Amino acid sequence: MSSYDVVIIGGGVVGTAIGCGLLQRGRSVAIIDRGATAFRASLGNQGMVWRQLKGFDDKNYARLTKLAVDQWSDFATELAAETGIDCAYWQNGGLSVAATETELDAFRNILDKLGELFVDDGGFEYEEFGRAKLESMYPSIGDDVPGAIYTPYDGVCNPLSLLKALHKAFKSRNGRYIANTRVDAIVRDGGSGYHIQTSNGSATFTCEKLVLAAGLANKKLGALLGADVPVSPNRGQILVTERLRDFDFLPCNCFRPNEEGTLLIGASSDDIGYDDSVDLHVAGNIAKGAIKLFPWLAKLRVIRIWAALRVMSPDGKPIYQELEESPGTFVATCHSGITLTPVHMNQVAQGIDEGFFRDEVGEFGMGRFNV
Amino acid sequence: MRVFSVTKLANLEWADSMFETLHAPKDKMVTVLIDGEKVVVPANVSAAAALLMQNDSTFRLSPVTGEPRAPFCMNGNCYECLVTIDDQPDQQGCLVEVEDQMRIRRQIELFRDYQSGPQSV
Amino acid sequence: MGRRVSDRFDVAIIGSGPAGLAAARQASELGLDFVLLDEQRKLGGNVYRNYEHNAAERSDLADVLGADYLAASLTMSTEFLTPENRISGSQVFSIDPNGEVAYKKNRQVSIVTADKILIVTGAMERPTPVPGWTLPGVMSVGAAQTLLKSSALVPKGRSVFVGSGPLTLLVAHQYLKLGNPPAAIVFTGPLFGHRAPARSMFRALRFSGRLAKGFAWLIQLLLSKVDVYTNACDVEISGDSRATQVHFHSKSKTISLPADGVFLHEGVVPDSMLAMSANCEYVWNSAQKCWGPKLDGWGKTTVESIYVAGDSAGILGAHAAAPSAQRAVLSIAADLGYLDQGERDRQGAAPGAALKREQDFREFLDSVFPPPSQPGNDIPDQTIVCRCESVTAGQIRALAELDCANIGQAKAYTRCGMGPCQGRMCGLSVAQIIADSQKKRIEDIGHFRGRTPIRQITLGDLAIFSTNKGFSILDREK
Repeated sequence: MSSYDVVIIGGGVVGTAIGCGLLQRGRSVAIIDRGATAFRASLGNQGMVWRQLKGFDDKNYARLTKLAVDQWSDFATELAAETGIDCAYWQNGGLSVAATETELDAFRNILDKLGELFVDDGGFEYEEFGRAKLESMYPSIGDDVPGAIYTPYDGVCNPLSLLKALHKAFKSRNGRYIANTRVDAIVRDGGSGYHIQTSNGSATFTCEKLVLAAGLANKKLGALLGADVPVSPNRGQILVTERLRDFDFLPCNCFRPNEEGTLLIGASSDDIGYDDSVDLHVAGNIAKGAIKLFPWLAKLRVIRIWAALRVMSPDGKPIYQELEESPGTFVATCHSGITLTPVHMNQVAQGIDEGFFRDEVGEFGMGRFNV
Repeated sequence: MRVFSVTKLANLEWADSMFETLHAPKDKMVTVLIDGEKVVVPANVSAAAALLMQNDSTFRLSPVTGEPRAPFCMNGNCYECLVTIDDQPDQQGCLVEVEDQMRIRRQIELFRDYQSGPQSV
Repeated sequence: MGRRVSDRFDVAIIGSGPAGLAAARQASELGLDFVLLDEQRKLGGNVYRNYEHNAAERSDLADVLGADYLAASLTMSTEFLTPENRISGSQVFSIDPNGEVAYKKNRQVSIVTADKILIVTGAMERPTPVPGWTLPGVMSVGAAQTLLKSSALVPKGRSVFVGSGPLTLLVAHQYLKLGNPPAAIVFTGPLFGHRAPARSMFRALRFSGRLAKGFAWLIQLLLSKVDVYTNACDVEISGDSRATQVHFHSKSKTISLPADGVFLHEGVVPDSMLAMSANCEYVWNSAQKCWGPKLDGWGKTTVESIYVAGDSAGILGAHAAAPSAQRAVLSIAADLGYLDQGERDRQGAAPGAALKREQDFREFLDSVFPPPSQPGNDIPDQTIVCRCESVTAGQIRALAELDCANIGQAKAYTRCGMGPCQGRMCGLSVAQIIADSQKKRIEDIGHFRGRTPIRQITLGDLAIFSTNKGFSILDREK
């Protein structure tokens, strides 16, 4: 039997960031990580650290995203200093390249709305790039492309290095990481504690607080405690290209270059359940759409295609909530887990530690779904 | 133990290659361009083999370290034999048979050249 | 049967080696509509590579390649193949449980569809990472064999063979017959394997013909001027921009041999990329020390529409190819209603018996000459293990510090397996290094999950498969 202040179920970017934050606050923490059989959204994303277009219809989400992105630079620097692992955070701004005039109008409207939301908080800068500007930036631009929107806040990181760095920080702060282990049963311990039984048979954990950060598995874990955690899968596919010699492109809605020089092109959106297999026709749609924006992409070789499942709540925004059905159990889930990493490490960890979520993170309880 | 008498072509000048060919004089030959130079090779050998006959050293450079690489498996598994064939980059030379006038180019440059210099916002 | 290529076939057979050809013949005899695809332009796979050309035009070469190769005429008759049911030079890059087989041929991509897919893509060589193996001038013994069969090339200088297994002996012996013997053969194991238990000796008598051949090759090599070393370890290859020397320890001595070419081999393992990319379940075969598809007794995988036969199902050799493929096709025919189960069982009995005989031989062979273990701890830190991404053994070992003990996470943390070969050349060695360095079982480390496309295509190629559904970022950001 092992005893901790907090046990976190799920060792992806969400769970590990929260774990690092709690360790910083002096708690003893264990992470139970299922490993290869989990869906692992942390390993299946493009590493976008993005504000553009987010939350124009939801002030709370827009603010949460701003809080995260404002902390990213310091967070990345400190993490690199602590672990020696650079997660390649580049913040040079990002683009939304429009395929049609209608789409460009829609982008413009969204950015104007964001400007209104942040009118008292620094505004939301953007610039419109016309065809001439885009033609100077890329080898070629599609005939129908009217232009693009640029905002300076956006950036990218290497999500795999991020996860690796978080794991290293977790370990060096004396967190306990239990790998390749599935949680099979959770039983409340009369008072405030828990017994957690795992697939490794004999190991049982007790803790005062429990954090469910297991992505799509939060649904099943919540049910073990009598709670309905409304997360559902949405499949996205990414095409990975060969390495390019010159890849000094801004990340955009169509692709991002990574520091290895490959392009990650995506991403699609399919509601087909818990199926993360690759569909060649969906990949074809991504390719076709990308070539319409950037014809020069057609010649690039695709090294592999992968699919991953986004963790979607009913409104697509995060859930940070202490379960009513199980006081002391906290749910932390989102589909923008890379962007929100500093918030998870700082404000969400704080909320779990203090027992209530405040300010920006306090707006993401599940009660909003029942209105 | 009998040593089989297998005809070996003696009249073709192979450069610095660790291989020699067993092709018979009556075998059909084709002309291909290797790195721009015309070379006569037996028909139906693979493009990678045609290159190995000339010079079995560097086919390409590792895109990660820049170290010299050459074919290892000749069976489509190692992806070390990548060459540009008739302007199509990254063809697995071991899976492609030579044809007359085929243009084979080694990929000694590090990466593909699709764009012209760094872009700025 | 005369189906147009665009119609849905009963079965798509991928691979035209002995198993693929036997499958096609069986399918033809049962009246199934089949299509046979192979990335090679010529039939024969690896074992009978370039048979038609060599038998017709180069009988001198065919002689050297051996009696088994010549006997291929029985398996190689192809009157059941027509332009409608044979697509050669087709690089299959994607298969789908719905029966879509996507391939690229002559720079164009196409799809055929079939109710069932039979994967008979044979075997590939076990990864052989040693320091310096990425230098030009280092190739596998299989590569040497391919160059001989397909392109009639032989090494002319000092070639050094390093490794173990029947293919090493076979090719060295072929070179000897050609008058280009290797300068040296460095066996990484003992010459005569382990002592066989009595039960195995009885089996040995059954298979004495095959064994005698191997022993004869060995004796001829020993009697010739070839230097033979045994129980070699700590193999390293050195050179500047190409391999020039092989170093190793043998019998407590350090030996360095000059080399113009180095050929490595440590046995073969099933080729698994296609089936893995379609999510067929793979299990660890501890006798053969490799992964193999989980199959029922007829070659059906855990995906209902996908079958695997021949060496892709498990290494049993060329003689097992035909019976294994025949049984798969019989089962496919029964699935599709061409036969009832009783008839399937009746017709499957003879190939079943033949297969059992081959399994017996393999068991015997494995007991006397155990398949080499994938080296793990033995690989020096500086050795490049993942060739595509230049990831070293040391970097894989360092993953222990992060309690990273599954291969998917190792891939995320080091990039091993992310290159074009998708782990064909490194999967087994990466898993073994992790297993050894963290004292875990290799079956718990897992295998790389091959992903579509398993052969490279361009974005332009992919766009052809579009259903014209567009995606906008506006759909995703609510």
